[in-house]
Amino acid sequence: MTLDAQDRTALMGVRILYGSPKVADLIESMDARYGELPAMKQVNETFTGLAKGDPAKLKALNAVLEKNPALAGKILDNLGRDPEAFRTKFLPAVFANPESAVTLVEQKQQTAAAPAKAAPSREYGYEPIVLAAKTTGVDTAPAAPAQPASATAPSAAKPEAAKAGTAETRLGEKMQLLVATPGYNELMDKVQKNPQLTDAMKAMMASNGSPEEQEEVIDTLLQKTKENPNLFKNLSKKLDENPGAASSIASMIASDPKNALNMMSSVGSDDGPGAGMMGMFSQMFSGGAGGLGGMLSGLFEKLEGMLKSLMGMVTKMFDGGNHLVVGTNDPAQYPGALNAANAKPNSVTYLDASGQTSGAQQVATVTQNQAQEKAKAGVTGPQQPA
Amino acid sequence: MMSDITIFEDDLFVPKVQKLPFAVLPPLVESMKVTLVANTESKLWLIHDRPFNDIVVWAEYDIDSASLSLIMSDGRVQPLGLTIHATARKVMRQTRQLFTMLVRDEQVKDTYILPLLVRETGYYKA
Repeated sequence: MTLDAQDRTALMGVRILYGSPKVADLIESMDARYGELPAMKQVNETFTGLAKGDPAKLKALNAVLEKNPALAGKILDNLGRDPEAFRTKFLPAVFANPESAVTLVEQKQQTAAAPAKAAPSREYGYEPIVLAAKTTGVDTAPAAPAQPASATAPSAAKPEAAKAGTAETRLGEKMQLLVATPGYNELMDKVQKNPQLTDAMKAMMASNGSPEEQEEVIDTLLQKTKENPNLFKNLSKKLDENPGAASSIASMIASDPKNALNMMSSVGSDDGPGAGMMGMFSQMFSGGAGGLGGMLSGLFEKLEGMLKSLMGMVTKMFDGGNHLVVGTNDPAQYPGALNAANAKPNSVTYLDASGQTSGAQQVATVTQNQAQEKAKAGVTGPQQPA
Repeated sequence: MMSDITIFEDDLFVPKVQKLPFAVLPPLVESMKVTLVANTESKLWLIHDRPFNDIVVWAEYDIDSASLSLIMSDGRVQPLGLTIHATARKVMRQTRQLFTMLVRDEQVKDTYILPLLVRETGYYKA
């Protein structure tokens, strides 16, 4: 494997932030299979250079890969045959027009099958292609006409694209600024290690906004990190401290991002911390009709508050009601939890090791204080009726 | 938790020893203090004093075997290790979520809201 930590982070960006898991899989497969090839480093750099400058093309390529499950394998075959041609001709051509990948790969395979007919100057049968405003179903802004493959060296293409000033290219460059922010890599690493958070991010990206909206969000984030350079570091710390709450929040969002409010209302109580949390969801999902605007910034800005609110909501629900202590291996733990949650149940029933409640009424109701006193006194097992 | 398991790879005559993870983790009660609390509104809390071994993705309550298990993100299963007696069955049968509370130093440190899968065939073993 040749991917280092920085590559891994970039790959994660492709997978999650750019919503292109198939492309990320392809890059990983390329690296895994051909990591030892001398030209592989250059291939990686070319790919990364092209990809970073053009997130919309990444998504378009991702869509093509999804439509054609066998395509990735064929691309890998072609890479193995001729990494240099792959780097200098195939990749720029594909990034100029992702939908051409299928044709190019087929042509290349036919060429490989009949080497005598191969024409070096037209190895992929590539012709300069002028892109339409929308080349795929993916929402893309109008792109500049593609350059011939020979003139599309990544180092030259990127500044030219930046000059063109499309929202997509600006977004790509701003993303690089964001990635360079202290703590960002660590945060994304934690996000990737948490399957629920990763799913949530993917779900959010699935209901993506326009490049302009994304740019606005990234601008907001960059501004936030200027105001608070430790923003990402703090969030990483919170995720470390509360993996459970983060997972719970992320699972709810990922399972149905647009219905998060309803889900929360089914989980939470009508008032107290639950309501506060629902307010935060309202803020997150307000504006942009559930688009990226609000959601990405919402995730980063509100997650910390949501963690607290979720914990508050769960502990709030612990309050009141008739508790049945089903089982424990430490009788003192339950009273301690009541204290920690500041909960006061109306009644508490303890089950003993045989599953029976004790006392004439078969129900042992104790107050919180009585339970604590008994625990402090070392009383174990079922409690007697108060 | 790793186990020595002998498996055969390419050459059947050259056994190779590989470390493979157990699919089932030791019961939770062996590694931390836990308390299971239900209420009459069919809400269920699992109080624990140490973080879980891994990210938990859902919980399973098997009424027949009177057991509750946590399922980790890598597919491993960790039984709670407490018998859930028939007395609690009536309340817990209706439960669809498990709230977990990590309580330490008299503070709620973390919480999970886990989907709870309830299984029941009616052939009760406990």
